[in-house]
Amino acid sequence: MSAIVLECREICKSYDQGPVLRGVSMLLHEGERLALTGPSGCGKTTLLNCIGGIDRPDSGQIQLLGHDLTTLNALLLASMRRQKIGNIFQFFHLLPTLSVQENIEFPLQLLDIPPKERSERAAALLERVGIAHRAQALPAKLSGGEMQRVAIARALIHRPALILADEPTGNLDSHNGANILALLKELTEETSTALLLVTHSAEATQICHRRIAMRDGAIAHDE
Amino acid sequence: MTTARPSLPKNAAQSAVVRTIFTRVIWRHWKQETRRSLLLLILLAIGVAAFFSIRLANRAAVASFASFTNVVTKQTDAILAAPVGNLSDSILEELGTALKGDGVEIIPILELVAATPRLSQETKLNSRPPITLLGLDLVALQNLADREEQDRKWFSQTKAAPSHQTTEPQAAPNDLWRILNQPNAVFCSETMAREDSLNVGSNLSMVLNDKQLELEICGIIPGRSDQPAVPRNLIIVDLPALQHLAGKQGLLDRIEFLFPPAVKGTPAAQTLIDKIEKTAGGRGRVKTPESRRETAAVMTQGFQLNLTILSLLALLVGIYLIFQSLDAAVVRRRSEIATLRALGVTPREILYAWVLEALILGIAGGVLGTFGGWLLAQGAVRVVSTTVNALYYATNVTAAELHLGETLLAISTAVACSVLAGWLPASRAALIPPAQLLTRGMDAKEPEPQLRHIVWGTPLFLAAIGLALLPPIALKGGGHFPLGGYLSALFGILGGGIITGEFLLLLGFVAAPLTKNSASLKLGNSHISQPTGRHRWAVAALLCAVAMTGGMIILVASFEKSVSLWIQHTLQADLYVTSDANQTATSYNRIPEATWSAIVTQTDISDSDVALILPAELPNGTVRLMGTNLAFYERHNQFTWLQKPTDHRIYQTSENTALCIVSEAFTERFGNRVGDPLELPTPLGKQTLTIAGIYSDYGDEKGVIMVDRTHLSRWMNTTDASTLSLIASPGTDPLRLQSELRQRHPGLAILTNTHLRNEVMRIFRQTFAITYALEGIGILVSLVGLGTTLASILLERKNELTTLRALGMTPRHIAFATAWEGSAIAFCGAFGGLLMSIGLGAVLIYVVNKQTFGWTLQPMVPVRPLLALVCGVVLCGSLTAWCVGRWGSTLPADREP
Repeated sequence: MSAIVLECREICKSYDQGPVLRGVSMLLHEGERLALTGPSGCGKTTLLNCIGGIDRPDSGQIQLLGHDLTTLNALLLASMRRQKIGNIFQFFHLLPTLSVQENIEFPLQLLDIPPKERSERAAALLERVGIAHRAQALPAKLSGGEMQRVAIARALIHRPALILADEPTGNLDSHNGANILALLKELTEETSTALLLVTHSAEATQICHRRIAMRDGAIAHDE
Repeated sequence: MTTARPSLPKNAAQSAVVRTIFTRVIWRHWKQETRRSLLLLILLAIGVAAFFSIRLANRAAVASFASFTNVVTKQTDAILAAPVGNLSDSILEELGTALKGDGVEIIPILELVAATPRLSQETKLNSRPPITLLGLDLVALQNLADREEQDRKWFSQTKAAPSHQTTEPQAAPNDLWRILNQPNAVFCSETMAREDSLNVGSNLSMVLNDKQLELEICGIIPGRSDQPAVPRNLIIVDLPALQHLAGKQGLLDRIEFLFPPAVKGTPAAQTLIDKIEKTAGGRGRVKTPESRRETAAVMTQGFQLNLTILSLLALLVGIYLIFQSLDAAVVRRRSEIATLRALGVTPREILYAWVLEALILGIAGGVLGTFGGWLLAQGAVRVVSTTVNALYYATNVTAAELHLGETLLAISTAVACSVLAGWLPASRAALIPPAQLLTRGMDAKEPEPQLRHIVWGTPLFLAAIGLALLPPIALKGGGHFPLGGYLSALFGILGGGIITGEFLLLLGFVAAPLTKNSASLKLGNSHISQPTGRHRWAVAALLCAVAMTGGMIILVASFEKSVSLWIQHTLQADLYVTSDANQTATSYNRIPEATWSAIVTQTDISDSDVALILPAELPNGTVRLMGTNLAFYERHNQFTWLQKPTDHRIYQTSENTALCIVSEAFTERFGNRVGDPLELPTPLGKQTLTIAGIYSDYGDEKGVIMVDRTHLSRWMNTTDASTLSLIASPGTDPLRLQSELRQRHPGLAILTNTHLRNEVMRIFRQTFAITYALEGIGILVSLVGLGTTLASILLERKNELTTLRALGMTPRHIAFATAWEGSAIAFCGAFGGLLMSIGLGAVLIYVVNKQTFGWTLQPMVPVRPLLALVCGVVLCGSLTAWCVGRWGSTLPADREP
């Protein structure tokens, strides 16, 4: 059995309007792809934000590679995100003022990787995701599919242990969506990276080893 | 099947929709963002307060000029005064005869400005408040009060029981004869009695001309609720007594006339004025109280306009903040507006709702600002009246009252500015498409208007140059308003503001290699390299504040340099003597011949000048007339000539009867040149003089006509002097001489050369104090503006911030990136403002100053204060940006919808 990358235990979280997560627990192993599904408002994004250390749960534990994220201070959380987590968003969220290559290199720059290595690794990933010819373009000039490829490259460049992907195909047409899913599958397989994929799409669920369905802030099925 | 064509919304329905959007959407946002809303309101209020306080302070200073006699008579209908010097009281009999049977009250007045005695250690000039001594015929006043059944008793007040106290009378009342027979009996204001603990019977020391007088309070000036409050520093003396005390027996300053009520405002009033004019002949001119008040306003209009325009700086930056804030609100609420549009709200309704927000903001900011402005005015009025005292006329106003007209003006200015600033964001809100944003979420980039910055900025710059060349607008009384100069400054700042946004691109390009190794700097720099409209607006606002402040620094430094050179050149004597009562620009206290001749004939004085100075009313306005020994000035090389006389008879008393020299301000004001004739009205008749030369004089903006004192004394029938300049004999210590003269003449102010130079420079700097305060407010508001701009930028980039955090950036990283961005904006604004300030300084020196005051200044760019300004702004800007960045890094992550 491969190593556990992520372990959530009884995660609870409330906002002013009421509880959003009600005791969510789950496990994710190295190289495993897990689809997180459920209707809008069921708490998927909040759970993702808590796992990514962007938000803090009210109670429960989140163990990432053995570190309890709920006990880490803001700086250590930022450090965990920088080194161990890659994020992919539905609306891509590329940094609009940086070129494609600069966007991809950015996480490496945060890790203080020397410029030469940065550009070599970025160039390799650009080739791998098929957008080497757009390396100097600004995000505004890219199509949706291209933007998501850049986002995937950016999420993988620093070789994280876990990729958090929030509806990565939600804003793409079916053709581009299928390509992106295939790319995600290939790349996570090549690097044995765990993938937590929040999605509504059946196609996206199919690339995953496992599916967890959420409802009203709790896990309804784990299959 | 077809459905009916949809109809356009009716007006009533439209207003209901606007109201609903405002109350349900906009107002709720305001309530949710209370702190931000309050900050914006306060910033607008600060701008309005600065503007309003200056208007109130100016009004109070001018109003005090007119109110002295009104408090004891009532609104007079006509005033007769000599154009130069005094009226003889022999004219009263002639007027009485001419107006017999017309029911006209004739009130002769002698008005002098005295001062309280100097404290032993006190050395400052113009440091003591002026005291106005009003000589009136008290018997006539009491008769007038009795006839009009007024409860106003001049002669029944009791000793040791001032009227402001309610204690029982302790002694016999002062009666008419006792007061009239007591030459030092005076009436003071209730405020002075209360504040200085004066009672009836108390003594009061006062300096008038060369003497220190001991006066006795014989009563409190009786006030009336339907007339202006009695000014604090007003003292009323019986007319003959004041004539005696001042050595002005038989002389009057003016005569005021009260017409019968039935005549007021009818053609018969003009007939009476014609009669008075005819009787006076060339001895006096008739004015109405309105025209007299106008004189005060005209005297200070240049100064007041300058202050008003400066006070608009804070308001200008406030407008920018409203624009920026409403624009940011439109950006933040784009998806909400799109939803409203999708629900069927028309673009016009969106526009109206946003304009309504601006309108309400303007009203609230205006009301808050007028209240704050009224409080500020209580401080500003003292500074303004200090300057008015030093440069224009005696005023002792210490409080500024609320004025309905000014309040309405301030509120309507705030509303107009707010609506103007809100219009563009409102238009942008109205243009938001209904569907696009709903599908693309916050990442949808609003298309920015592609402003061609150089294309717009360059014509504005060219217009600024053209406007600077326009002639000034002529004002009443010979003043000029440099409209072209002010418009030139405005266009220059607008053009500069537009173009300077391009500096960000340049800076981003230059700094790129330096920032490539730091993620934070690289990110910050990437935003600078692709500046948004908001970045450019922030740069423009800072440029505006820095350019105006820098321009004023250059103007003041040039002024200081010119004045400093001027006093070094003109103040060559060892000692200067004047009456110690001369604490304002219009204190014309004199030194009698017996006193001045005793001083100038002392053996330890080798040379001297005796000068007589008095105001003269020419047909186009009031100037200062100075009689002096021109040969003394020439001997001691004391003139700074702009056009040196070629006719050397000007220096010879026997030859210069028909010659004069004039100051630069005079020629600028009246357009006269060397060789032009001047007609001077004097008690001896009109004197025709020819202008022989023009000299620099930074001490008087009204203009000076200088003639030989021998002739002026003859024309004015006086041997008195106003000032003395003394050159000590070789080997005489000026300090010892000063000490001796002070002991001998306690009523005289005797200053050494160094002391006078220092005092001139101190008064000069003091007059600019309020200017610096206004500039400071402008800078402060623009720095807060930078903070709110960056906050808006970060709010717009909330998703980007979430991404950065997801990528592992710490709050410190984000703050650092924002600080770099803010520093770059501050640097571009400050640097652009610095360049702009040089151009603006030139406009202020060569156009605004020259056209307003008529002074030629030596240009001077003070490097250190300007660098300090730039560094200060960049530092404060960086600090503000850092704080905003820290705040931005804690913005909550987006939640699942």
